Amino acid sequence: MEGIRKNFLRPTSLFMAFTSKKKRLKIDGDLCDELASNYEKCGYSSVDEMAEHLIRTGLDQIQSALGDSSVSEEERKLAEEQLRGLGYLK
Amino acid sequence: MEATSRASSQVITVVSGLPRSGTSMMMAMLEAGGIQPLVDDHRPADESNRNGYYEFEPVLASRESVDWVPAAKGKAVKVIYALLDSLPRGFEYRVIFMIRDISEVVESQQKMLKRIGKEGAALPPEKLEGIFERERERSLTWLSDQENFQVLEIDFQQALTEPEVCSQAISNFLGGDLDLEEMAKIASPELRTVSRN
Repeated sequence: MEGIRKNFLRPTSLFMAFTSKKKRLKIDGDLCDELASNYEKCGYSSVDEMAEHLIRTGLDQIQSALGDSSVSEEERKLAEEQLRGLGYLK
Repeated sequence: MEATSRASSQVITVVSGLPRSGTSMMMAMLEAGGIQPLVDDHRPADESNRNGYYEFEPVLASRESVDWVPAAKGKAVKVIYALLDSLPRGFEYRVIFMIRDISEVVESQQKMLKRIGKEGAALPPEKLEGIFERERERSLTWLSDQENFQVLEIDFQQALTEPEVCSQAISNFLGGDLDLEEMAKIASPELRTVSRN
């Protein structure tokens, strides 16, 4: 545990995995301490995992509040499957 | 009733929205108001739409052909949201876009699928609701960017509870010459019960 904490407490940066890329994010040292002391009891396997999940959750909320109306190609196909089933589309 | 259409002979009145959002009811209101619907009998009335679907079969294949569009001038035609961007430029459209609570829309769709024995998207209702809600927003945004489309959004619930108000708004939007009394008779709370089944 102490070893893990050292990895994240001293440097105030995190290497985070976003799909196949890793990018460096600088965060406040105290905030990093909080993550490191809480990730296990919150059910995360690492500080990285907890930080990434919290950022994703926050982004979802922001996009929802901003009314993000994008529809992926896959979602559009699913909607059209529904329309064809209902007989509203050939 | 063989309606002598009260719509401008140059304008195409389009009733649009998500399937099961009250588009058939709106087509019936327009017909009662004096606008001739462009329809055929490819899908007869059933338990899901007891007053008929008010569809014109060639519209369903608009991605392949829009040869039917000139025949819609001066009439009302139902075009679901997903086909609006297939409509050709060079025509003037007045779109009445039906808005209905998204959970009611999906619930009604699922019941209709079950009734007709067809399969839709393999997704839980809450996912479908999210997708259709965003699709509806995307369509309305697209419409607002088109110079040859004017749009009036009509809330399905309001059409049922305040049919006179909605009929007046629709008549104003389409030129102010519709039979408001006959239109208002079409929208009834019973329709809501039917469309939820």
